[in-house]
Amino acid sequence: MALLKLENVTVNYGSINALSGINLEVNEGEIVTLIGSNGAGKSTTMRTIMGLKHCDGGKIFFNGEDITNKDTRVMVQKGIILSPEGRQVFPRFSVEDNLRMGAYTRPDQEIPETMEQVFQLFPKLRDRRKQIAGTLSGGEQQMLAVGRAMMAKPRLLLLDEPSLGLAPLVIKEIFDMIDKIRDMGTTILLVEQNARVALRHSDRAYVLETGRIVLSDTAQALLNSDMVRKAYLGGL
Amino acid sequence: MRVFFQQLINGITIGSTYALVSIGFTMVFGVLELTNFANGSLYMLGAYLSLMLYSATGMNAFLAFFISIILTGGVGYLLDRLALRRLRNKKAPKLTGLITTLGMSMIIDNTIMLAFGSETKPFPNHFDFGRIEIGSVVISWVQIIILATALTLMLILSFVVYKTKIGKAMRCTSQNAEAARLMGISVNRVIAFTFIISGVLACISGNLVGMYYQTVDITMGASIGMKTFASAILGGVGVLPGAMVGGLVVGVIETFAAGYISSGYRDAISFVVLILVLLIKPSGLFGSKQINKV
Repeated sequence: MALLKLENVTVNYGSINALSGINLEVNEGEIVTLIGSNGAGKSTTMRTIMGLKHCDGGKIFFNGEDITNKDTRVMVQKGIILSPEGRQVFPRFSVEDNLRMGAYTRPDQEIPETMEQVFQLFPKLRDRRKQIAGTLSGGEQQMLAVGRAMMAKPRLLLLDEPSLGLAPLVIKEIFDMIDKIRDMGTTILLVEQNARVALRHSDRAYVLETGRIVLSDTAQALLNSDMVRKAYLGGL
Repeated sequence: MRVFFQQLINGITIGSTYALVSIGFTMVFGVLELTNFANGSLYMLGAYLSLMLYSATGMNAFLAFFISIILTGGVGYLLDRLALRRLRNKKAPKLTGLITTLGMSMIIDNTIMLAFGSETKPFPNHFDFGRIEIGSVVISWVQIIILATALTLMLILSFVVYKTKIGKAMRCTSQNAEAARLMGISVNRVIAFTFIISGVLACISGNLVGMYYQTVDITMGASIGMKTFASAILGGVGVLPGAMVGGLVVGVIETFAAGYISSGYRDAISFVVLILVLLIKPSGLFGSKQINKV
């Protein structure tokens, strides 16, 4: 059984159709990527899974349970965590306080242990744990956003554009972390514009175009597909 | 010097009641970026409710005070629950919320006016234990009680906002409401809590001021509304210590203005000071520039 399953999910923004009946599955232990250009509906998909955007049709299942249009808090308690586009760290909180907020729904006594794991994953955060998050660099903020998401001990981690606006070296660092997070047993659904890097680190991928899934296959197959190469990999 | 110290004490007393209302105002602004015009009406409502319960039923004054706190907190909650939350769910623009609070304020003011009439009402002072003289400066017991209550509430609120889980949830919501939701924080619950606190504070402050002047009237809400607005902005809106210090500063300035210049100029002078401070430090005394780096 798939850990996450979207069945015929439709989402509208007023009269504009953002997602028109998409089907998608993520199995336990996988890294699945959603690629597509600007406005294809990638972030909308993530926000709808989290309950931030109302799902106007279709159903979303997590671990076999219908979670369509449940409150975001319920998703978090069930173990679905989104690290949002543009990082969205709490700018006036220190790194440590940001991490602590990530574990908001968990018992206080478990926080130090999880924080230690996050610091092992992102040693830079340990060095800067007293620093105010708003003064971190973009790459550090992204690490903090992912670290904060990991503080909730997610079963399914949704990552929305983790490479946005970052230097190539930092992107490599972030994706190495993503591999490590999967090895720790967390399932990952990734949204990326940087299709090449994302596909290299994924098991499977879906291609989204104007609210429809037009292609889905193993990441390897999509890396070699002519259509994907032309449209998303710069034809190289 | 005697006049100076006497005015200082009077200013701090009245300023601490401004600070209490300001804290509620600034907290609501912090989590919602909403200017709550109904805050002053809750202050007036709180004073009237306890007066009504006390004089109509003859119940113990402290019990009446206590019940009025609960009722005013409840009205604060309903303000959000009945109107503002619905607007948020419909993604209404911020201005809609602002007009709604203005409307709520008029509903509360007019209801009280219809029920109790528009004339000034005597308000009993249950803390009339006389006065203390230090040198030639006179401090009344009611002033001491106002100061002690305000100070205690400020300490409790600072603890709630900076040390408790709900306080952290509040500060997260004020920085980034959507990210707060993604942490599993129930933002609506945080907002409801904030409105209840602001109602409770307004009610306590209204009662304290009622006892201090021994009168209440229906325009007291409108006049404190302007002052809390000034206090919160002077201190830096959305910042808790800012509201506390802002309230005290406004109280002291207007008392000095009234004492040394003319009571006709008291509001004008405190607003001149407000404008001067904002010209030098636009974000207010305690406000910081946004450091949202992307």
